[in-house]
Amino acid sequence: MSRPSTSTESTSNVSVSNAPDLEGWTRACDADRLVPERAVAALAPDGAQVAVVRTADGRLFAVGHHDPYALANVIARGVVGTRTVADETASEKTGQEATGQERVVDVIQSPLYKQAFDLATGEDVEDRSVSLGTWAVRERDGVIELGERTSEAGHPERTTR
Amino acid sequence: MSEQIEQARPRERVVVIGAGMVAHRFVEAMRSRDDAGRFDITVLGDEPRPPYDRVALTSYFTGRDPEDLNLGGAELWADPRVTLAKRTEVTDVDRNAKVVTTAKGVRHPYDHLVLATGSYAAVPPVKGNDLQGCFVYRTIDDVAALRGYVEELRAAHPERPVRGAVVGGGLLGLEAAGALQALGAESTVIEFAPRLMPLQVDDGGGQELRRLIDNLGVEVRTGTATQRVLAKRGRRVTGMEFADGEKIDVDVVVFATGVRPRDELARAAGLEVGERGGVVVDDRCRTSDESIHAIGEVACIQGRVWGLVAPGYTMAEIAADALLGGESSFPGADTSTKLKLLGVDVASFGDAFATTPGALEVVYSDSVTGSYKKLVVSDDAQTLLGGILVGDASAYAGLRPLVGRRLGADPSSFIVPAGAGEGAASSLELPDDAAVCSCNNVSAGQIRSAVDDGASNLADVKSCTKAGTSCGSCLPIVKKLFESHQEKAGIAVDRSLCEHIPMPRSELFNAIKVAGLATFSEIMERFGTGRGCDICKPTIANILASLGGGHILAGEQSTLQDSNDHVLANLQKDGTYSVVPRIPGGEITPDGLLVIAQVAKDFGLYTKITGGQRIDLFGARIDQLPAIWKRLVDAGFESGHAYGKSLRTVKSCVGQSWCRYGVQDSVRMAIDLELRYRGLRSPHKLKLGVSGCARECAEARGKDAGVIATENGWNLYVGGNGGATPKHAQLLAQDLSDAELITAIDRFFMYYVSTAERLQRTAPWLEELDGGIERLREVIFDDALGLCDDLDAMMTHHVGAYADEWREVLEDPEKLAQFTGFVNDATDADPDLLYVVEREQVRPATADDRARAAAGELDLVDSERRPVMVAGSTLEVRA
Ligand SMILES: Cc1cc2nc3c(=O)[nH]c(=O)nc-3n(C[C@H](O)[C@H](O)[C@H](O)COP(=O)(O)OP(=O)(O)OC[C@H]3O[C@@H](n4cnc5c(N)ncnc54)[C@H](O)[C@@H]3O)c2cc1C
Repeated sequence: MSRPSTSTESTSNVSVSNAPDLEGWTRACDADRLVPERAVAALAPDGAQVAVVRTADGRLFAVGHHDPYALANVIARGVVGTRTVADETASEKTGQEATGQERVVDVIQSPLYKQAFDLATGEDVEDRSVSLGTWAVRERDGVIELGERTSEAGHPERTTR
Repeated sequence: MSEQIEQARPRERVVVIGAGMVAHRFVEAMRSRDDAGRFDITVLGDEPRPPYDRVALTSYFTGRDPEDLNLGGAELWADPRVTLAKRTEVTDVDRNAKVVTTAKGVRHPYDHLVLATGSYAAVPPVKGNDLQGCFVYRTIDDVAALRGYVEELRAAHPERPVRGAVVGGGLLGLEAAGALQALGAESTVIEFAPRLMPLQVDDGGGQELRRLIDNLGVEVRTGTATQRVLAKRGRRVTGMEFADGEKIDVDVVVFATGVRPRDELARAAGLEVGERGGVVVDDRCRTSDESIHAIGEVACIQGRVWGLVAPGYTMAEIAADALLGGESSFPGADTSTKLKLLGVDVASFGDAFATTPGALEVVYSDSVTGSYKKLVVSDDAQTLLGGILVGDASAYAGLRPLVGRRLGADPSSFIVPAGAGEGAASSLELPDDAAVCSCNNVSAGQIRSAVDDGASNLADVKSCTKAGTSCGSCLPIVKKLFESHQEKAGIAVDRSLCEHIPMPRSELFNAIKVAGLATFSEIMERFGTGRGCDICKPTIANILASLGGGHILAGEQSTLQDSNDHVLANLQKDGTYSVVPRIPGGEITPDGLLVIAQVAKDFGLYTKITGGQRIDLFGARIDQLPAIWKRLVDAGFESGHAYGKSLRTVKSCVGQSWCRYGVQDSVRMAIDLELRYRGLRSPHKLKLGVSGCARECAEARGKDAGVIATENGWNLYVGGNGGATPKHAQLLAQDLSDAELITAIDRFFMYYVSTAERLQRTAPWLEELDGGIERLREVIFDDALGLCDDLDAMMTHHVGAYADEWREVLEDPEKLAQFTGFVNDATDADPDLLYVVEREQVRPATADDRARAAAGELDLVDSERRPVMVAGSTLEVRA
């Protein structure tokens, strides 16, 4: 089997440096590369693969790119949107209590088996013990930057692989 | 203890004579209720096939496969307790020895005997009734012989139409006339009585029916007695002569003058038979011999023989119940029927001829639109007793269950004007005990409990109650009952697409088209709420694409696409993609194959031939897709749209050019069709097939649109699919020219695209289409909805605007930028992508493979197909 080269035209115009700066932030991409409502995959300062999203109203999120059910790195390729959820489960991460009321959350959906993950917490909206993990993200001087991990991933009992 | 008794008792032998519709229902009832396994059932039938739907016999002429008519799934006949002997005529019943003997001399002992021998077609004693070219209309063999004869005549006399005559202007006769028409023969219907369908309709209805049938080109002669069938020379029919001496030229005569019970075995065995035939049974279907039951058309129950299937089914259930120790008895039956004869609706129900003392008639007749409607009501005009509907029988499903009940409104409001009648009937609340489906004896209450028990769609209701599964005339009312009860039970009949779009896809499509909107934001502002989700975003993207909205990755549209459409490839389980170049009609040059092979080899892609006659290359990383496609596009390939809800492939056989059986160039047609419809976005994937002859090697009838070559052109079948619920496509039109074929498919596709629900394939769409395939024909060929120009324009636009999606991506740096592994590290490939080499190709490593690799038991390679080290040990790859 011969070996094709990894670099292709598609990635040639992208900055290659992702070394963290002194404060621990690393460059993801130019701000205008991030189309609202469509995630990109990037490497965080800790080397983790993350999905970076800007929602239509301009907020930034970074969650894990690894799909905990499919065990594949695909989350950034999912559809971004909103989901109305019954707030029946308490979130350990936010210390939020179950209210039993409905609320609308920003989600990214796995392109493989379609679970919806809360962009703010990384949690699967239907099973909040499963989570993608979250990272700090900001925009500075027209550049999107990734910071440290802000919550851990949680794994399901069953996976599909 | 009871188990021991059960075991000690030998199983009882049930022998059923006749393998018709009612025998089938009997066996089904026995098998579903004999939980203890007490009975072994042997069914002896003289026809060469399992029981089939005789009621639908005429559909044989509209291209339905005779096998589609079979009743009882393979499971029923494979049941070890059930034995079905085909081609087995019973010639003797020995009641003393309790044994029946077949024509071949095989003896079958019984403990219980069930006679289900049905009827035979009666041939009137006119001279010449046995000439070659005389037929009856009862079995598949009968209709196959009729068809063969007409086709033979057509071939022998291509210069003139085949002339057919049907003796008998009742239900059967009109069905037969329809069959002759479907075979391309002229037909004349000859009826002795002064009007058509004398048993079902009155004079007024008969007149309207005659007018409608005349308009269809069928000649009708009422009040005419047939004297004899003539043959000029030899034994072939050439004409017939009437009682008044008049003669006409005909080539084929079909006798449809009624049926007689096949009670000859019972007579010979000394069982009591009725005055006008039929084996006499009591209300529990027992004959004068208590070990023998008779059911269906052969039975004479409550003094009469029933020539309809519904009472037969009731008898089958009663006989099964009796064998199992039950007490149920025959509740009586009615002759209500709704038929479509030659495309004309006729319904007759309850006391249609107003024989109840004091009964009043309310008649609405309109020869302009061709409809006749009569309701019979009680003397106080409060209670519905019966009615006759000719031309427009849409009110039947709503009215029939109301027979014997108070109407609660002015009777005329149910029939005048058209449309309002339906409204009035449907606004009435049917009581639980009202019979809705008379074929299968299903009440309104049973439909409601099915909903309560969790049936969540119409198909569920049909399969658990059997309502609407025989003649289907009650389906509109079943649907209404289902929907209104769902609503009442608080099961909101939520037709919204998702939480953001409050309407189904079909309505959204129309709304977007009419409003002329072209962007997601505008659409959400106008018709939706919020920012969307993975249901409405791809659906709207798909609709915009169907309406010709430009490249699917242009601007905002790009953010709407699901993962496959977003990168124009098919996502696989490990997060890599597969690549499918288009190979129109499955035809490819050796050089083309070499290009694909070299790409696969250079990128280490797993290679497989698909079911759609093309080649799938698996295991490409997102960042490799542009390089792969650059090579393919440079070599002249284009996107195969395997990733889209869109046209996939047109499968073909090799056809006339090479095959000694082919009658048309199927490959040429397949390529033309594929190039015409490539890139067409639709509610679900679309597949086509083109076969070069009736041998059907391209399996076209398993496709959304299947084209089969004939000597004279092409037959078009629509609404087929493979997959989890396979469906054969139904014949839409015959012997089309190339241009006619393309117009028909254009309109079919665009009508489907415009009106189907999200992820609804053509088969369920057609099943739900009011009026089914006939309606589709009217829309496509008769322009019944005035849509044809619009559908044609949509397709013309599609064909003109087509451009290869991949070529455009390769030419546009902005679109190309989306194909990155990581936006901040162009050199890093996902290190978690690991593969096992198996049968000389790669496949994704499972969790288990990874564990074995870590333990040094298995070799893995990475996405560059290099050997990898897992957990510190170096692995070598096999060459
Ligand atoms: C064209 C057509 C249209 C119709 N349309 C309608 C309709 O719209 N609505 C409606 O209600 N009804 C309709 N009918 C009538 C309906 O088909 C019959 O009522 C129904 O088939 C009766 O079922 P059965 O089992 O009693 O008889 P059959 O279905 O006739 O079955 C009897 C079987 O027994 C076999 N048999 C007989 N004697 C022997 C023997 N000695 N040994 C072995 N086998 C034997 C026969 O060959 C036959 O296969 C229609 C019939 C026809 C022909």
